[in-house]
Amino acid sequence: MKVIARIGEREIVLEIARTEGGHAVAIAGRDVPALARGAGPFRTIALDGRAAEASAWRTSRPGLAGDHGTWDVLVGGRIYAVRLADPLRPGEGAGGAVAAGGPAEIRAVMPGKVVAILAPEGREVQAGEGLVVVEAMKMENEIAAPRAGRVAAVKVRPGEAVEAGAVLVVLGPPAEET
Amino acid sequence: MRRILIANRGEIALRVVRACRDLGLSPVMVCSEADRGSLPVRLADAAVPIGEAPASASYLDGAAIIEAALRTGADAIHPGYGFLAENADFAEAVARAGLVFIGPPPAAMRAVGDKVEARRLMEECGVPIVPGLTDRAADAGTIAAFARRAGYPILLKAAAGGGGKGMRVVRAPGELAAALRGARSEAKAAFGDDGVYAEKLLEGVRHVEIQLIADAHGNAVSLGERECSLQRRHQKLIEESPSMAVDAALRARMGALAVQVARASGYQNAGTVEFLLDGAGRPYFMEVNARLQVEHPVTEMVTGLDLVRAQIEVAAGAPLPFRQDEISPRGWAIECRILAEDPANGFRPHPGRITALRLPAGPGIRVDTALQPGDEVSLHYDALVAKLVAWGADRDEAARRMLRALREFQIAGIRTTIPFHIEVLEGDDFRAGRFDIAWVDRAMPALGPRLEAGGDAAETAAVAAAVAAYEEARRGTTSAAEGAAPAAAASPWVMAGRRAQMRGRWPRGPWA
Repeated sequence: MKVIARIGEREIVLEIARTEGGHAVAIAGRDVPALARGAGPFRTIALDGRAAEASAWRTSRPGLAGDHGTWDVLVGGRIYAVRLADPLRPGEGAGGAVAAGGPAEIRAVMPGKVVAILAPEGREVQAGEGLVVVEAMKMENEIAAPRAGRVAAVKVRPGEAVEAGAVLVVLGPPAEET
Repeated sequence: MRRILIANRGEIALRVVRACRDLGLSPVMVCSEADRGSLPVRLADAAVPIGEAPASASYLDGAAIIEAALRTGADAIHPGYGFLAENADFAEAVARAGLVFIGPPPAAMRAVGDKVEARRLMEECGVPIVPGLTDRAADAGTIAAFARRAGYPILLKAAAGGGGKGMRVVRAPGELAAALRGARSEAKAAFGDDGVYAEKLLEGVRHVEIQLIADAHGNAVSLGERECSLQRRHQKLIEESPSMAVDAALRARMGALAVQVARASGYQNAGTVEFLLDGAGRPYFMEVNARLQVEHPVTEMVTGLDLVRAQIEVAAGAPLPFRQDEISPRGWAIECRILAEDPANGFRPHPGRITALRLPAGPGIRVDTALQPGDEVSLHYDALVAKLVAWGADRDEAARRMLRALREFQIAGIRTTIPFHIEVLEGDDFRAGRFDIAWVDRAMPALGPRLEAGGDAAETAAVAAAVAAYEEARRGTTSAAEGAAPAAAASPWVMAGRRAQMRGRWPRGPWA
């Protein structure tokens, strides 16, 4: 299997094959493949004559268009966010900025409890302005507007428990400047 | 005393279970539905489920806890830290039920627990305090007048509070009204009391605290200081003992002040007196924490004492088995709080299932954690998953051992503060002891981006992820194998990581 790993700005092209007792991973631009041993999530990766232990866990499901999803990897006390994609269909990956125009649903990114509504329906908000405060894991988190706009609808009330992905606020286009 | 009920969870519950075992006492636990399979519950002699996962339905239900203690034949209750540890009404109810509360007497708890009352008490007995109001001020006018007199910035604090809850920095008159509203509402929610007072915000100062222990026979002993300046929004991240800013003379002076505080308030059992220390080495009383503290292990490492054991013995009526002149710190200890937070993204909470875990060990290393592979780090509780403590003959050795242990720590399934600790301990400022309570906030803009993909092992990480993905595809599973977190729990967190629209606000305190 061939994959592109994106870590920050870097792109690393890899080809994985099973070998006896583990995996051999060819890295584009390198003559000698890396060797991986172990059954996961901890694996010992030998590269350049040095071995390091790494644990990798999935942080998002595989998507469409050759997207193998994202992984977090802990190596030597450092965390690496890795996005894996099929080199034949590298796609765009998930995400992307919220378009400046049409309505946007602002969703809870984790389960929690709504503590306060900062911007009621009809309020004009600037990008970065607080919309809703959600408490999770004993922290109050302010959910901010990703762009300027008018609050078209507030879908939750203070005290309400919300699941991850629940729509909190619908943000409409900014009022017409006249 | 034969049996102790532990009214807490997580690493501190396990800490008390272990102290009980060391003393030949029987530990029993209460637990929420979420903690039925937790390590302290497994290791205790008995466990009583007392309610649903939210603390308000379980660990804060004093009546259910006392009933569990009576039902299991416990003689005493150890509250740990947080939850009901500093609740004088609970301590009184425990005594009324004929049980021993392992902590200070309710009257002393009240005397020092209310921040405003404590300041008044300190002023009376000549302990220097941060300039500020000694009434619960209340109205915005009084606070504004104080701010004009003392000069901005000022700090608003919940009178009943602690742990950063209900706290706001005000740098200009225009910010006061909104900050006061926020502080009141947070104080009301956290402590059921919206009383807020104001202090001058001292800048460039360190947070240095004195551990003390007092018995029922009039003996009070200071166990040296802890340096806790490396904190973020009043949440401590790294603590050490001793402090590079404290010499023997200052240690003796601050220790004497702490003992004076204990005597003035009729304090018994373990407690901590927190001070701010300015650049000229002048301490200012901040507050008393009437409980065992999160960071107590660093004191244990340098004094050789078991503080939980001492708490239990003092509560049972025994006199302290040591005198002040027998206490002197040996070597150096550092603690790093391993939190389920992502330091690369503003310390955002990062709950999830621990899919694999291997703890560091070896010379000078102590890990206080109740974590087991498969445990869910839940949104219901504090983000502290482990306390990593390193001891060395000197500060340099302790720091080297800490770095070794941080790199050895393997935890899969959640992001933690481990990369942050490594970055701080490798830095020149930490090595030189050059920091104050605002250091973390000042350092994060430069330090944060280095925490993600900042290391030189990117290729190793890419290989590890690719092999894991390959095995997953080969087995035709996307979430069961490779110890991956359940997708429903995982993906929102990844979204969180990518979205700049959410930023952390007011950490609610681990009690420290």
